[in-house]
Order: sequence, then C-alpha cells, then structure tokens
Amino acid sequence: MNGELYQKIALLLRYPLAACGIYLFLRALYMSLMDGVNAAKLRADRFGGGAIATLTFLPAGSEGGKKTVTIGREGGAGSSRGCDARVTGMGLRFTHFDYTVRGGCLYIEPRFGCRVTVIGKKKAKGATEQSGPIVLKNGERALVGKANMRFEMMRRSKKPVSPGNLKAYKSKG
Amino acid sequence: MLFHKNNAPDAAGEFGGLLVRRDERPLLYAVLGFQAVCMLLLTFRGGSTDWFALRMAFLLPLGTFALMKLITKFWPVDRALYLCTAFLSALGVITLRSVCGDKAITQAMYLVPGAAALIFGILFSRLLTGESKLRYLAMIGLVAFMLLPFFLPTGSDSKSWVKLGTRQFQPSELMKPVLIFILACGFSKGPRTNKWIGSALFAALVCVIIFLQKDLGAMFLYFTLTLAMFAVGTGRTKVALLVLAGAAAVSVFLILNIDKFSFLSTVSKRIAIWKDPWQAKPDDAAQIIQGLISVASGGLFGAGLGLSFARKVYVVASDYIFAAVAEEFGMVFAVAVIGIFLVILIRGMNTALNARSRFHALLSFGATFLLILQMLTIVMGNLKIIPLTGVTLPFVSGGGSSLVSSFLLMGMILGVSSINAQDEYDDLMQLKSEVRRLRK
Repeated sequence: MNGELYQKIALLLRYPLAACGIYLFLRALYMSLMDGVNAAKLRADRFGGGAIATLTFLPAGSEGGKKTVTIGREGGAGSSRGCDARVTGMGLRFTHFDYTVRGGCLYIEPRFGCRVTVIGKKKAKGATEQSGPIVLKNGERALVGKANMRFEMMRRSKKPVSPGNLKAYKSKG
Repeated sequence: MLFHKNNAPDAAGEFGGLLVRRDERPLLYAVLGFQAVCMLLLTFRGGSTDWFALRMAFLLPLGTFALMKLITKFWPVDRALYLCTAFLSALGVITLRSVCGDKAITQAMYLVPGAAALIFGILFSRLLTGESKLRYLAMIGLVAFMLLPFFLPTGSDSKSWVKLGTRQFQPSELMKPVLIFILACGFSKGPRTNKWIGSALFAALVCVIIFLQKDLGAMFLYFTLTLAMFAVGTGRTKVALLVLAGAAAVSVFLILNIDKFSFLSTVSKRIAIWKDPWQAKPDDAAQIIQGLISVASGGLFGAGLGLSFARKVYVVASDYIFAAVAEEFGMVFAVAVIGIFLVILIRGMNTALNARSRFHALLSFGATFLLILQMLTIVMGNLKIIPLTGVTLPFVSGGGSSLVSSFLLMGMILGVSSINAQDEYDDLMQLKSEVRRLRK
C-alpha cells in the first residue's frame, strides 16, 4: 500500500475509531449503571431492599378501620413512631415484635412479654400459641395484641427485571 | 478455593442480575474489532508489510477472547472490567507500535506475564484473608525489594530503578499490590489504634525509603493510597484529613523554599519548567512543550493512526503516552479513554461496596484507588495541570513492571468481584432451600 492511500484510509478511519472509543465508554458505563439498577431491583424483590410485603391490621372492636402498612426486609412493628410498621390498637406495645421477611415468609420475634398468636388460614381449626420465632406464610394471619394481622407478599411484576435473570425467575416459579 | 462447589459460570448465569451476559457481548465485539482494525491498519503503514502488526491483528483479539474464556470458566469475574482492561492494554500496544515502533514488541511480550499476573491476582484475593500470616513475609519482602536500588546498579539518577543485565525494572511499581495487601490486612481489623498502628508505621517506613530514592511520584502514590485506605478501613476520616493537610503544608513549604534543599534540585527544576516552560531552556522544556503541541495538533479526531509526530516527544512511551493517544486518535477518543477509567472506578468501588469481608473490600478499594490516582496524575501531568511525575498510565504506558503491576491490581479487583458473585449465588441457593423446607 503506498503512502498516499494509507494516509487516506487512516484519515477516514479516524471517525469510526473515535466512535468506537465513545461507544465502548458509553456501553461500559451503561452496563455499570444498569447492573446497579438491576441489582437493586433484584435485591428489593428477592432480599427486601424496599417494600416487599404488606401487613394488614384489623383492630379489635370499634377501634378503627383496617390499616395496611408496607414493610421491607426487616424492621420492627408496634405503636411507637420509631417503628417501621406503625400500628395502634389495644394490646399493642410500643415495639411489639421484630420481623424479617425471607423466602416469602414473615419471621416474627415478639419482644419480651408481647404476645403473638398464629391463627392460620382456616380459623375454624383454632389458634395455636407459639413461643420464640414465629413463621407466617403468605396470606396467613396472626393475633397481635388484640388486633388481627394478615401478612401478604406484594405481587411481583410479571415481567422479569431483565432477560438476564429470567432463568432465576423461572426457577423460583 | 480454586474450584468452587457451585460451578462458576452457572453462578453468573443464574444470578444474572449482577453479571448479565447479554450486555457484555457488544462490548466484547467492540474491543476485539478495535484491536483487529487498528493493527491491520498499521500493517500497511509505510512501503512494506509490518509483519508484527499483522500477527498482532490476530493474536490480540484471540488472546483477549481466550483469556476471558479461561478466567470465566473457573471464576464468575466481572467481565466488563476485564474487557476495559483488555481495551486499554491493546491501546498501549497499538499506540506504541504507531509512535515508537519496536517498543511495542516488548510491550506485547509483557502482556503474557501480565495475563499471568491477572490470574495470580484473582487467585491471590480469593485465597487470602485478612488474618493471613503471609503479610509478615510480604512486609519483609517489600522492604528488601525496595532497598534493592541502594545496593544494585541503577539506571537513572532517581535510584528507583534496578538494572539487571540489559533489563531495568522499578521495585516501587511491582510492590504496589503487596502494599495494598499489607494495608488491607492491617486496616481491616477495626478502628482501635493498636490494630492498625503497625501497618501505618510500616507504610510510613516505605514512604521514607521511596523518598530517599528521590522517586517523589511513587511516594505521592504510596502516601495518598495509605491515607485513603486508612480513612476507609478505620473510619477515622478526620485524622486522615489532618495528615493530608499537614503533608500539603509541608509540600507547600518545600516548594516555596526549594532552593534551600539541594537534594530536591531535580524537583525544583521540574517545577520551574512546569510553571513557565516557554521561558525555560529549550532542551529542558522540550518535553512539556512538545507534549502540549502533540495534544493540540491531534484536534478533535486525531491526526490519524500512524500519521502523528508524537514520536518527537521525549519519553513518549511511558510519560507522554496520553499525549500520543490524544494526537493519534484525537481528543474525543482521549476523553473516552478517561471515561473507561471512570467505568473502572465505578465497577471497582461497586465491587468494594458489595464485598462481605472488610479485607476484601479494602483490597478492591485500594487497587481501584491506586489505578485511578495514577491515571489522574499522568493525565493532568500531560495536560500541564500539575508538574509531571514519573507515574505511568495503567495498562497503556510502555514498561514491563508497570504493566505487570497494573494487571496484578486488576486481578485483585476481579478476584473480589468473583467472590461477591459466588456469595450472592450461595444466598440464592440458601433461600431456595429455605422456601422448599417451609413448603413441606
């Protein structure tokens, strides 16, 4: 190749090469930002970075109407303002219990002296009192103080977060 | 462990939210295409065929692809980070071939130990913990290695090089990953003074040794790195800022009274030239002036690959490689190169934030911080924002010890990223088994 032809090609290729550099940068930046977003969404969905479930309280008697609060992966529930899930009602202490949402279940650790009774889906079978960690599956209810509490996982969006984790969604069913 | 119980590629695929496979392919093709096109173009430069460039047009993409396959077969590393590294190291070989000719051959040869260093870095960060007794051996080795220039013949005035036969290397370059390891061990044990004081004193000793070697660029890097890792590791930001302010005050004092310190004559000369290169002697200021002319004459889109006069710049291969890139490829491309380093910063810091042990977080943070600090120092030096130091542009600048050291640092970050991915995969498996157990 003679010098003149090489020069022409090299000058012509300056623009695609600059475009390639910019593309590489923008693509890598996009990947980095989207990875962060995807990971946050995935954690919010799977590990509880944001609101992932709801607690619906039905206070006893004429204390008020039904109240639904959204909860994250872990926190405390009670009548105190500092609680993640604040509910008032008869028999509810300032911080009644601590909770953790894992694997679609609510793990409840009642504070000392606080009573939490699992009701179960079929109320007719009667309530069973438990001590220590209590597990509520999706849709199950418990008596917290004198309020009736129902635990529900929030509905996951039908569309997967990204095609990359489609397999993870499918495997979870 | 070398082979994780969960097959690594499956782990990456299963937990696709963090390591999305679909995204990396365009990036991979762009990197491979860039390497092949640039080297093919250089093949036909001049009257005859450049056989080295022709070989590299095939070997560089092949090597990049093969190494990525090899690494990801065993560990779910961050592939985007690897591809950024591959792009930068190929850019170094291309620019050196275009500007310096035969220096590119040496640089390409050093890519092989560089790849080995990358794998070693991954293994290193996966196998070691903050409690490793190896840190004592590393401390002794580091000091012994840093003292080598005092006993062996050196290649320059700064006494930071060691000459072995026809080859030269810089101990301070190779010891950067070792210092990060030692500091990560020391600062990962918490904020109590008795836990970190040993590592801090050791780092101070290393800085003194480098100062005696008159390698102020390396000393600046080591000092800043130690302070940053100290602040992050112990949470004592105020102490770190106070030390930084003290060091800045001492530096200003030295600069203002630099004529009184004979041992800093080289620094004094450099600063004087940097302040006003147009008034200095032509021979002294030639490097800065030609560097600036080189950057300016590249314009937005460059003079064209192989058509620049960047070879006229003194020590263009190591000190002024960024100016050469700017002239050959243009300022738009040079900004993109800085952007690639920005991506390394984002991903490296993300890796550090996701790490589950303080040691690994500090390892990843230290390596990322050092790479970015080096980049900023040399780019700002090339653009005459700060005085030029003997720091290299990671992966791009010519020089074996710098290249191997940079690859080792990147290997450490990749190793931590692979641990993170496997931890998250283990979490997922644990959750699945828990759900299965509860359903029963």
